[in-house]
Amino acid sequence: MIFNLATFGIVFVAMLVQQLIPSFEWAHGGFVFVVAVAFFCCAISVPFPVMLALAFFTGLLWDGLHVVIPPDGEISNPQAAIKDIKFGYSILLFAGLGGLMQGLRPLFRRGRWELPIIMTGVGAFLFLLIQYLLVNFSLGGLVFPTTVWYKILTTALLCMLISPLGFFILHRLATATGYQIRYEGLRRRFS
Amino acid sequence: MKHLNLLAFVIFSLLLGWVFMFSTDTKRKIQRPILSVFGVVNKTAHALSADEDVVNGVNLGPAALAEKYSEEELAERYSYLLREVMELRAIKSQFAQIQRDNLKLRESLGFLKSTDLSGLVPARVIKRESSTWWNEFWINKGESSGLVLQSPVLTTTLAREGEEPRPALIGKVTALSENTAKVLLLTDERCKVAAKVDRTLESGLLMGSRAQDGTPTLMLRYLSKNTEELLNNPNANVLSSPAGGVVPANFLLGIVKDFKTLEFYGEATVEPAVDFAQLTDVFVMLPTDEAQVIEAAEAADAESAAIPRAAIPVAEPTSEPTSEPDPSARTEPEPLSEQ
Repeated sequence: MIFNLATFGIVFVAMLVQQLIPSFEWAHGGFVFVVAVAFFCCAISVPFPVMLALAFFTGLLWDGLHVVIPPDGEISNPQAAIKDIKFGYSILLFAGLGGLMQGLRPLFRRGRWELPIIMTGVGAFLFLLIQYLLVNFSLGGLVFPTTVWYKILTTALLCMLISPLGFFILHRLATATGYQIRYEGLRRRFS
Repeated sequence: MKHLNLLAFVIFSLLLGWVFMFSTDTKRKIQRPILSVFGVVNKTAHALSADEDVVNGVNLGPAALAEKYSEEELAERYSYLLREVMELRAIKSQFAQIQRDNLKLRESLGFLKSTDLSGLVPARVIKRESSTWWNEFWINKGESSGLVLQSPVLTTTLAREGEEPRPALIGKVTALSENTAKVLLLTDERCKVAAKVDRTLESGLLMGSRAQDGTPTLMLRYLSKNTEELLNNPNANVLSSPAGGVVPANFLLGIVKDFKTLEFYGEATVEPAVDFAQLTDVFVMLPTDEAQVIEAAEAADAESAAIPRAAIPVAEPTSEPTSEPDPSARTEPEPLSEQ
């Protein structure tokens, strides 16, 4: 229970830290997407219902911070209206990608980190790509310059790089709170 | 699927559907406390990174300096700093003259002479990320200073050399907390402003272009297809038009650089009037429209109970002499005549 609650705190802290992290020129403008890493690491460590609640919390905070909410109808020129991603799409995205991470949970519980690390990067990549496509969709027209590909790719790679740290922290937290992440399953005994 | 998982999925779907059905007001009510909390973080980070407290990113004392540098390095550093002191002395001697010129320019703009001091709020850019450099930034003024959503954000600029400085629109406020606000820049494609070309009958919609590298450009769309006026009038000023209903008319936006005819309409490339890379101090125009004021007041009343206002520090003026605009200079600009 304490561990599950702590994952919400981790995501919140990640959201605060994200505000202070700059993007890197040497990485084609890529940045360390701490929120995605925190969410995906937590999503694989907690049961499905908690993951959904976490996705709701993370998506709500993310959209609250980043979605531009258009003003109510005082604009006389409808073409001048601000268009952005609909409020709530990030919840759906986090839940969907968190669901993918849940698929790797049995592997993760057996102590295998390789695929979860790769999936963290893939998840960050998909999140940014889908968000960018949604923005394109809402603005009309598909503009996809090479720089955007580079930016998304380098961000995903940076996420992969730091995700072992996330898994390590979660394991330590689980040990401290008495939560069982690692589970080998029922083993046959040979006597 | 386990029953518990299924139940969680159903509840999640219902909650998600509920979020999608939120009204704009509800979304703002949710956004406001979030922005307040994260606004405090941004402000704190800004305060901690003050240049005078940090040397090369680290606050070094004499002992640490002696440990870090060899004698040769210290000597080299000393001579470098000495050169810098000389340069700064030279700059300082020019400063008084520049300050006098600056005051004259401000006077010419009517910022000091105007009797109505409630029209403009000076603000400082406190956060600008490189990843969204041409899209948005945060300023240190918010709802408590009278800002409302869609408030136009201005700065002064010289349209051309030799001309008098004039107010230029750089964006509008899109999110507000008690003491901070997020400004969507003109160079963002989502920020669309009704605009007209000076000395012509042409008007259209000005917006940024997506995923820009280097210097940003603006696009003026929905112009007439084969307009002789534009083809014969390159470098015309682009001004805000009252058609959009949000931005007052005749604020300078940019200069036409290129015009091309597309399938259904004409499109002009516009060079911004302002150097968007160098924005540090801006002015936010307070609402003059009664409906805008009422809407802002209603929103503030509705959320007064929800926001922990006491937890948010009030913006303090910095000690830099020139960069912070004089609070006494808050005025409403005189309406500009079309040139």
